[in-house]
Amino acid sequence: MSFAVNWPRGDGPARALPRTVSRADPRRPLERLWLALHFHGLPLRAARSATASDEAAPAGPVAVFEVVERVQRIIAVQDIAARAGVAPGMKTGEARAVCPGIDLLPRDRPREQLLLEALANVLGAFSAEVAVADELCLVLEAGRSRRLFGGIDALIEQLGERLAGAPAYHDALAPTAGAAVLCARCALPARFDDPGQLRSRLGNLPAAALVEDPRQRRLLDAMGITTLRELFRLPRQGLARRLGPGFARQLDELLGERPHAPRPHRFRRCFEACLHFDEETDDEAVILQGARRLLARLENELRQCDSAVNALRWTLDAARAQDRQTLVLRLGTPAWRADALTSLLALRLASVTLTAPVRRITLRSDAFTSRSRAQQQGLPTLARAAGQDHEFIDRLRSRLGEAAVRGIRPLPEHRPEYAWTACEPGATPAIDGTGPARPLWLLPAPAPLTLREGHPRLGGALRLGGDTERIRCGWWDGHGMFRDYRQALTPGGQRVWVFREPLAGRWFLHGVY
Amino acid sequence: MTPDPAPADSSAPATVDDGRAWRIKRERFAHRRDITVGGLVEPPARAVLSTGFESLDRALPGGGWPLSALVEILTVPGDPGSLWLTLPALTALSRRQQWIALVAPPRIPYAPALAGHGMDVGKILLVHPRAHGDALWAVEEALRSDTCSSVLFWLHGPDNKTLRRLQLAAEHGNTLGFCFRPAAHAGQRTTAAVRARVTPFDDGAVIDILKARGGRARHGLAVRYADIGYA
Repeated sequence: MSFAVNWPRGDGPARALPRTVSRADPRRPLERLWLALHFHGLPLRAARSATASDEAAPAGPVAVFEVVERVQRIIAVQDIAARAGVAPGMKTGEARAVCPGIDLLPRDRPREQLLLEALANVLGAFSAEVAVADELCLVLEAGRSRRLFGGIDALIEQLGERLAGAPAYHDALAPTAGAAVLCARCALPARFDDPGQLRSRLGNLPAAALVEDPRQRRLLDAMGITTLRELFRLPRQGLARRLGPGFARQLDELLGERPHAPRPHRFRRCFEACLHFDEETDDEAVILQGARRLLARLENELRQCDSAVNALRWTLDAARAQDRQTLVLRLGTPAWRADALTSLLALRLASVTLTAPVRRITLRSDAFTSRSRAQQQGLPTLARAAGQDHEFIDRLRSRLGEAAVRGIRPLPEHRPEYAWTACEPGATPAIDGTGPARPLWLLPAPAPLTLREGHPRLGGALRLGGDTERIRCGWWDGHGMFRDYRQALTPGGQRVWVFREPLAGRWFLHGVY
Repeated sequence: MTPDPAPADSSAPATVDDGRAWRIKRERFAHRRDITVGGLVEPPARAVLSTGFESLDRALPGGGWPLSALVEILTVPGDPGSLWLTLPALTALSRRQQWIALVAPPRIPYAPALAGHGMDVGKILLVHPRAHGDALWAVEEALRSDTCSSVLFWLHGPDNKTLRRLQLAAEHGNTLGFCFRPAAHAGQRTTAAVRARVTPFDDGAVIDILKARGGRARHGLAVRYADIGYA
């Protein structure tokens, strides 16, 4: 697990940076505090957004139902319906009887999951550890982040501001993740950080809240256990035998007797958004303006999950499908700022010609990378210099295309053609090539020389000099060569590198000094 | 009659470029408002980088290639660009945390040879633009951004206006620019800080400095391959 500290983001006024609490410091053990958010309004929101195409929500009573054990049961109720007497757990028929005009919507789990992931991404701005506890509940580690936000209350307050438009939720703060989730699920507004209080605080909660499995619930019912306090009193071994070892472990984790951290949420690794223009346009300024709006959204998303992108794919759609154009921008260093990304797109747009007026632009990026890791590479000064470097390369590549900007690298190889390769700029290992003297320029392919009386000519007879260097190798990979290389002077005084094939007797020019 | 501080020595070169004669004259006529001392110009204090060739260093004002300026190198047909003349300077510049950009080179710059001369080839950026306009754009970007220590470019007949623009970009970005052009352009005016014509000769070349800002033209400077370590 990485020990990440959330530094303040954005360009706002600099906050006092927190001193990191060292894990190794025995005097200050890390207090872990978990904040759980149970979004009970999520099914309603998801089901509504699935049916109502726009914001015009139906004004009448609404409830969401789901098929539980072959019976349609209400699982979430909107306020008006609740006042009319509809409650979760009712069968749909009962709900219709109680509230005749009710609008019953089926539960939309995939959409719920999407919404929950979006919410988890928002929470990423508040903690390095965010987890999805169950289908409606998110939990985040708040103990390490609280100093940054000026106390746990301030953190919760800021979180509340961020979640202003989110589905209704209950939150709870507890020293174990399981306890926080349980409290939030039961709408118990717990706020405590002492593990010693866990048993007393959780004691009155219904035991059924702890188990999902209907079989286990029936077993608990049969054992006559209604609250958690009764459950805590029972010997753990017997519980493990009756309800399974997993249940006993869950209890241990709930009470902090066994360390536990929920599986961290995998932040969204891709972004896709599109923008329709009011009317078709081939005006670059208009397209850029639209692109900027998409990039601002991307930047917002990236800030939330402390990420940056390595590549962007722009799709420009025209009226006809065959006029669709795709622009791929690859970045040398991960970037997240909308300004920088917009200027890169501007460069690329300047170098392409639009085949048709653009109707819609789509931005897609699935090359997310951790920003903190990108920033931690190397010493600060080197990182800064290298960062500048790659911005420059990105600019060049945006206009000229990716293949137009390369680095070169020597390779340990005898055959001159294969002793170098094009590579990513700056990717060269420092090889000190102290070999025989080679020319500074190499011809892409050896050029045959004309002969007169067996002597090679290049604008006149060549004056051959120096020692002969025989290169004979490569028969094993099908590019074998047998050549005698020599230096030579042209009549103009130019020093060149030529070779003779001893078997064929032909001469070639291969390099210029 | 100017007193000659140097002992009469017939073997001393006729022109002394160290500015000594100029200083003597200036001191002598400092109080005379009606007399302008000409002939020799004091070399302006500016950053230079040794070319690595003794004869060239002596001929160029300040003792080397002017950093943050454009150097025009005129080459004979068949010469892919006398890269070896710039090699000692480029090797020194490759120690910096900056790129060395080669825009539209006519052949493949051979990495083993460059590494063999001690250059950090990881700093080299090969740029191959497709269109002429793109090439000009790339050269100007590279010269202007302070991420390149040197930019070498091979362009087809950039006119004087273009060169002036590139010269300004080089000054702005503190970049040493090398513009390689055919020797046929020797007759045109130039705005580059230095214009040198390279004629290959035997085991080296003869350099004619046709223009050097802050200095003067010099002809027939001999440089040898041996100076950069070639046998």
